[in-house]
Order: sequence, then structure tokens, then C-alpha cells
Amino acid sequence: MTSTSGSGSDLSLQVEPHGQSRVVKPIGRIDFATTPDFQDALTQQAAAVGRGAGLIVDLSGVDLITSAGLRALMQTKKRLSEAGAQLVVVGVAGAVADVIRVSRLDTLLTLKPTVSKALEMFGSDPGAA
Amino acid sequence: MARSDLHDRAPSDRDGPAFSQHVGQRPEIVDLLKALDAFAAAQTISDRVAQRLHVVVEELLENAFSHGAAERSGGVRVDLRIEASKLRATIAYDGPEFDPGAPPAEPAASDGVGGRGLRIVQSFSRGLAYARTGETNRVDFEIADD
Repeated sequence: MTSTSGSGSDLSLQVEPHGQSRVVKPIGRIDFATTPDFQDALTQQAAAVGRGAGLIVDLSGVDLITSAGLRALMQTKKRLSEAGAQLVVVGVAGAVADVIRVSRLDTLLTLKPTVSKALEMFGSDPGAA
Repeated sequence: MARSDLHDRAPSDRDGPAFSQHVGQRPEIVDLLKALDAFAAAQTISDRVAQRLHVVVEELLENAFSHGAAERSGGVRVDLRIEASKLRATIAYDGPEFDPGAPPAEPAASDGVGGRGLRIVQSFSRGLAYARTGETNRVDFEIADD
């Protein structure tokens, strides 16, 4: 697992490979200030995801997301789809769930409750890295 | 540059805590949101209200600065006050007419986000009122806690 944190940022990012899939876990808040770092991480990890595999974004460590963060997710979803891969979002709760629900992105994003459930979609063993 | 009436009002004994800040350029949104979060954290408001305040103000500021409009016309003024446990806010700026309470446009692409930000504003606020005087847009709202 690798971790990164933007300079003076309210966001840190953990990345873990699972076969051809990747799990990205942002911790903190995804807003106007931190979305550039979040987007960079998604872009980098999406490029490493194999065809038929998934980029799993675990939002369980996020306490707030704004429409800037939602745009980053949707752009990544589109990029992955064009490459024959998939974006899955997990760990949506609290204020993050509220924002995704009222923006109606809950009908467009693939949401799963946990990383394990998401990895099962791609035949990945959650215990393997 | 736009000034909100809230900023010009003389304070009274009934006034609760207040916050007022001007954002001149888009990158300054970061500093305003930090100051806003600090103000909210110092008040007796719920985490939900504080989070919704951040989300709504960020969205409205991004809209005001879109296409460079607010930057060219002197920036945006954000005023908040807490009255009877309610968080009331006013955002004022000069620029093209823009009513955040109008029905949001559907995103241009089915996987887009455009228009969804305004749905968030409309869902997380109460009493959203828009007024235009000359070149000034003024948006008044409360943050909902339900």
C-alpha cells in the first residue's frame, strides 16, 4: 500500500493494488482545495487498471465531498469505461451519501458497501495484494 | 463591487455570531472556505449544517467565478450570521444574471455533473432567494438541518 498527502492538504490518499484492479482510499475531505490531488490520483491509478478490472474508490474515510469531487469521479468513470474497465465507489455514508443522493449520482455510479464486495465483481481475492 | 445589506446593517443585541469575507480571485476560494470552516467549528451548529454550509458556499462561489465573471467585476462577498440557531447566509457579486434557485439544467452528458451542483444547493438550503439589482446578483439562504 502506498500513501500520499498533498502539501498542507486536508486529504491523504492510500493506494493498494489487487491484481489488475486498484483500490484508492482518500482520507479527509474532497473539495475545491483537495480535488486536484484527488483527480491526479484517480487518473494515475485508472491508467494502471487492466481491461475488465476495476478502480475501487473507498470513500469511508471521507467526511465531505463537493461537486468538484463528484466531477473527478465522473470523469474517471468515463475514462475507465472507454478503456474497458469500471469505477466502483464503496463506503458511502453520512454527508458523502447525502451529496451523492441529492445530486442523483447514486443512479449513475456503481456503489458497493465494502471494498471486498467491489473486488468480488472482478474476481479479485480481497486478501491478496 | 456588490455589497450585501447584511454587511451594512448596524449590529444589534439580537445579532448572533457573524462572518464576512470577500473573495477577489478564484484561488482565494480556498482561504474563504478554511475561514468558513473555522467559523462554523466555533459555533454551536451541527456537523451536518457545517458540512452543508461548506458544500453550498463552495458551489455558489464556483458558479460566481465561472467564466471569470466575478473576478472581472470585483469578486464575491460572503456574509453569514447565526440567528435563533439558524444559519443565514448572503452571497453577492456583480456579473451575468444567475439564479441558483432556477430548475437546474440536465447535465450535457448522461455522465456529467453540470446542473447537479445546483441540485445540491437547492436541497441543502431553505428559503433560497435570488435578487438582481443592476449588475448585482444577491443570493440569500438558510442551511437546512433535515
